[in-house]
Amino acid sequence: MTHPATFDETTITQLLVDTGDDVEFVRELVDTFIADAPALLEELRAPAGADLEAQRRAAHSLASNASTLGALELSRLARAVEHQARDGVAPSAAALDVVAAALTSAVASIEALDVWK
Amino acid sequence: MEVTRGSRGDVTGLTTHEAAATGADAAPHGPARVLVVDDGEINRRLLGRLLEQDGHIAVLATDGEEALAMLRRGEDPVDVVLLDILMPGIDGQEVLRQIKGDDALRHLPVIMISSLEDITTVIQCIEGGAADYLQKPFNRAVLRARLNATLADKRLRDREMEYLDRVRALTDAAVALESGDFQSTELEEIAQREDPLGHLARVLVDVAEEVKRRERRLQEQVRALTIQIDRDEQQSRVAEITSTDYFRELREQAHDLRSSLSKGAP
Repeated sequence: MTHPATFDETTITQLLVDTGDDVEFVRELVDTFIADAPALLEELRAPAGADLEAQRRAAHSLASNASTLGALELSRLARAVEHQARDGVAPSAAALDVVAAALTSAVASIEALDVWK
Repeated sequence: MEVTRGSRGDVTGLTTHEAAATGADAAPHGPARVLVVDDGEINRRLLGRLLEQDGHIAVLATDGEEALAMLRRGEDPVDVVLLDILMPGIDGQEVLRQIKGDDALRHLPVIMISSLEDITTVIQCIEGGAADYLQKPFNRAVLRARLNATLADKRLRDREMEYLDRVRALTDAAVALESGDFQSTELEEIAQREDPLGHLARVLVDVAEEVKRRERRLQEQVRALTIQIDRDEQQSRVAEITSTDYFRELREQAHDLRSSLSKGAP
């Protein structure tokens, strides 16, 4: 059984190609992602009875940003939370812990890329 | 609202890689003003940059309210809107509904931005008047192809609307010509065109001038005839008076008087 890829290194490389090798610009996008992600995760950890639509949007943003930067596993997990919230189900603490771990892993993978060196 | 300008007009200042990325086929329909509406900073800025790379001007709005306010102000109109579906406040679907419900905006092409999972909403948006959709994460070639196809349709429609405006101006001119209110200056611009409409405008202006010339000639003839009639009428009245018995008597009396005066003269 093959496991889906957790991080696509070529995504950042392609972003560099698409933006005319503007490392500074792509780095700004990455920094925005790293800065915004914890707040989005915090919104997902809102107490029971919180605004599910706001949780859905937070999960959507996290999934979308992760996908743009090649963080495929994080994107998949956040998307699953988004669908749950859309269907009226608040994400469980355990599910959000997995999302948080995927975020840490994604940031580490991005930072380890040669393009920043 | 943020505006970023494309660099295609200044290719000499770019690196070889950038120059290749901004090739002549990047924007075959010319630079466009593109409104990007996305609450997500990363996607909004990335789209702005990709558009800029192709020589377009990207106008960035962070939510539906800002986008609608900008569109309704009508300053610096945009050619196309890239609209994210899921946003806080007024979402993309509602922004699209308001654009398509506004007479001044409904012809503005809108490309929806969606994730793969939004496909049901995308279908609803296309049924609601969206021109196309773009999936996140963005693929530059797909963005370019869909934007260029949408711009081609927009440019064609703009030309058709301009043509219809000109046809309307010509029919108005024909009505004015019939009622005598025609001013050839109204067709000056259309008459400059090298197409059949320009030809028709020139014919109409020539006809109008010929009608005016003939009208002036007729007026001159009428004036000359009036003078002639007045003179003839005067002569006929004189003839009428001089042919009366009373006038004859008076003339005889005058004759006699002149005779007696000349006889009596020393």
